[in-house]
Amino acid sequence: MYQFSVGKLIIILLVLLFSVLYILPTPGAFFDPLYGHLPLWMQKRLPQFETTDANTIQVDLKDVKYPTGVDFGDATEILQQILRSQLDKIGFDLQDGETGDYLFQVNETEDLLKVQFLADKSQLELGRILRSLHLRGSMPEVMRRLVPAERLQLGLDLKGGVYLVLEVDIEESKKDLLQEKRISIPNQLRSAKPRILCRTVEEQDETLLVHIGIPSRIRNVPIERQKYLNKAEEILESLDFFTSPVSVENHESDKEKIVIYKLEITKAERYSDQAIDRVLTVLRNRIDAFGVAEPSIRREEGKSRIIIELPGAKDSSKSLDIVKTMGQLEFKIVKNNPTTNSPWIVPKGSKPDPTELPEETEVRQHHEDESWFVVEKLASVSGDRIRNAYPSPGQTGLEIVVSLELDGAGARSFAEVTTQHTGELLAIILDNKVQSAPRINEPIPSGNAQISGKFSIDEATYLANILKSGAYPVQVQIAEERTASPTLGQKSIENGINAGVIGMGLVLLFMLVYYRASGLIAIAALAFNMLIVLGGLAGFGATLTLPGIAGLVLTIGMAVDANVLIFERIREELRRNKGSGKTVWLAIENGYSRAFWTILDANLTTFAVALILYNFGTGPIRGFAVTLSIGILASFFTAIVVTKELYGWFVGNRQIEKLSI
Amino acid sequence: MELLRDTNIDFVGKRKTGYLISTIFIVAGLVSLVFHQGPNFGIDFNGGVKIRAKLPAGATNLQESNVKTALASVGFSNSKILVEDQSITISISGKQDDGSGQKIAQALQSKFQVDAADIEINEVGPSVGKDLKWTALWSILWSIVILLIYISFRFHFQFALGAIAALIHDVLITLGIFSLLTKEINLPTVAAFLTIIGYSLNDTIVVFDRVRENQGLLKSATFPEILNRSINQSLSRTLITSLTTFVVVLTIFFFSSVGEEINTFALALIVGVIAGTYSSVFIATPIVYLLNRRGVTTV
Repeated sequence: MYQFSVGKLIIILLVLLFSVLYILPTPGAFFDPLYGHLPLWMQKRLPQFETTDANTIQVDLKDVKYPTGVDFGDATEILQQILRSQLDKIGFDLQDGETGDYLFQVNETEDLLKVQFLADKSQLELGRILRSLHLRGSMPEVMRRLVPAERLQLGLDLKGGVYLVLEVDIEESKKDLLQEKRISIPNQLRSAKPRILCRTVEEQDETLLVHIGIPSRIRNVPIERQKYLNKAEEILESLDFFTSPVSVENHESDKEKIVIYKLEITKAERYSDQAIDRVLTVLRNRIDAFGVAEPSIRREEGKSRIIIELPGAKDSSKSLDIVKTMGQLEFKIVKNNPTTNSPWIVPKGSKPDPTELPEETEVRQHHEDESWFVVEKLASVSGDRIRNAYPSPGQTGLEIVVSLELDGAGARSFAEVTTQHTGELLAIILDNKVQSAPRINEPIPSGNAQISGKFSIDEATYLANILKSGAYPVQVQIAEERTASPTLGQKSIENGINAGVIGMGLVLLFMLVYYRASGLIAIAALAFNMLIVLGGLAGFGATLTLPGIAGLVLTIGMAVDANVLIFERIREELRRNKGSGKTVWLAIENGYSRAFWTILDANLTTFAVALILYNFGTGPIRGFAVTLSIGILASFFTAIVVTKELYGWFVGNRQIEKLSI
Repeated sequence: MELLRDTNIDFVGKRKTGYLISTIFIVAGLVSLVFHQGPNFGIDFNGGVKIRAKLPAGATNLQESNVKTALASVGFSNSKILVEDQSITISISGKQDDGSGQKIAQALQSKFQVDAADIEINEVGPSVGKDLKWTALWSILWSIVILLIYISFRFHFQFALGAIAALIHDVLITLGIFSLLTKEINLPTVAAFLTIIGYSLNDTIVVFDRVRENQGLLKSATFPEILNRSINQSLSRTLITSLTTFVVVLTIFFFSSVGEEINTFALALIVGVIAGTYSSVFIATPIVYLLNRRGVTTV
């Protein structure tokens, strides 16, 4: 006996409703004509318009966070344009000056946009004007909460954009770190107050042994000695990526007492986490500064990789540059060549022999003409002391330079260098390439420096941004680079849709021919299926990728499987029932119950594999796995519940001789 | 309309023929694999650069030889080029220097007037590929283990073994055919393999389900008879469900160009669906028969 179930009907309608809700265009466009016209960022971030006096409405833009590339001026222009067209629709005219119906006013303090109504028409209450302009947005709060805002997003491979995977070579970076610290620790200690004598820094596996010498004068004065050691420990403690210093040995001899501190590189995972976090911060600063809309920068779980997605970016070369530049700036004094007594610079091709170089120096090449500079190994000032950087006109006013503002400690070091080395050349080195080497004409106490180098405004902006955003603490490599083309993506979507339509058409045709009227039920189920999958994808916030489209099309083929299983069973049951007087409905019921377990087994196994796929896949493959999973769940639901109810409504308990199947 | 209603083919009896056909295909595939020194891994696994571009209208000079020369002049001598109606695909395998993709794109733009917005670049470093090989292998192994457990639980261990044998058969055949056709194996291809694994099981389960049901019903029949009846009864079901999926995958295949990854993906599925249906009938069930003949008790 078929019993009509209200419960099941409600469930079916709810599922249908939700799927549709996620597929239809957002209601905002219908309900809120004004809001619907506003760009998305405004819809999200604009406060409500208010009435300030009898004939003025205004909106306060003070705390609005503008997207990159947009400022107060742009925002007010957009608003004015939209307001003009909407006010026009309800009968207001804007004419120049005071003869018009309304006037826009914009604050100098860049926070208010006012609309002042001048004509008699504005004797209408402003509240009603607001309402008819839908400036508040008239979609009922309840609906706003219920109706979902997410719609299906297109993935990079369909929309176009750049996809980069950065890798941190942990082992390499540890080596670099140890090497760098071996030089910088003694200098850091030496410039402390009180001055700490660092005799040597030994490297041992992933550990540094810092030998601190205790000056004879405080050797036997416990309080002073303790203060001295505390200072040393404080400096060693502050080092990134290392554990707290542990005193391991004391040497005592007539000449000197030495305390040895051990510094270990933090455990692999913590080190890798710290390093990646720092790189992430730098990246976020840099990419923000370059104004790509909606960039996505995140760490790949469990690995030392960072995934960068830049939708809409046209080509990857610029993005690659931004990402690959270490951003390490150093100021180093150019040594004097003892033989010529002038700055030691040789043209490209005559690289000085390392054995000829004095101690604590190294060679660096110029980034353009490739000449060699002999510079001090130790940087006088390093880039992490830069507080701000921006392009500005140079001293002659004809060229463009990058102006730097150093922070307190940086300014002090800079003042020291420029005082002690007046007359010498100070090489400005970016990522180990000499950008320029200006002469220090006088001491510079202000901590303001300039880098010149025949920059175009673009180049200067680029460099300033790199310097401002900081340097990577570790070396990074590009592991993967993919640029998707919007035109090819468009073509793929077309192909996908065509394949889907034709595939669906063929399947539907077959179902009709082979199962006759029951085929119609299968078709209804299939359509419902597609709705659920599309809506479900949007609901889960999934992005549609090309494999995802393939998954959709595949789902069409697999969705019918369950129906086929059921129909074949029903046919069998009908055959069995021949002549026994059992109702058609009984055959249908039995068909469903017998097929249930088969469908469950089959779907469950495919579902399990889809989950594994999701787990193992990245990006586009995940899209495929999600589509497949939702498709399986949907086809299970439509086959078992929906089609059965459909049979129930159409066949039910009627006395039918023969079922069209 | 109804097809295949009352067939009575002795599948169990014909199993040796089935073994023979499968063996031929698998051996052919293996020979090809050995000859090519392993599967033809694409850039996702081996690293490298792959560029696809839409041909500008009326581009007559974009022929393979011209492009090869142009690439060689910017330092890429070992490139594979496929020129189609509307697009061109360039792949270079193995680790490349940073920015290689850009260089090739530049060459295409300057020498062949390709629009920058029409170029798609895929550049993968070697470390990613190494990881991927492991992950791919693990996924396939995990799938097989999980499925083994599930089927043992729902049917019986022998059936699980039969099903797994069918799966492995399908994967081997697809791998072999890919090798014979020198198709590349990339991420989407592995996804296709996993889909085949999941899907191939569907048919097998349909048959096993019948076997289990018939064992309860036909108490007087011998095991081979039960197996045969089951297969015959579920034949239409098996074939039709595979047919619908096959048709759909075929349309994907035809609506994509050969250079696209989705095309290889569809091809893998096409082979997989055919092999999957075949193996449910000619591999899975006979294996169950074999194992049963040795006296292991049934469900």
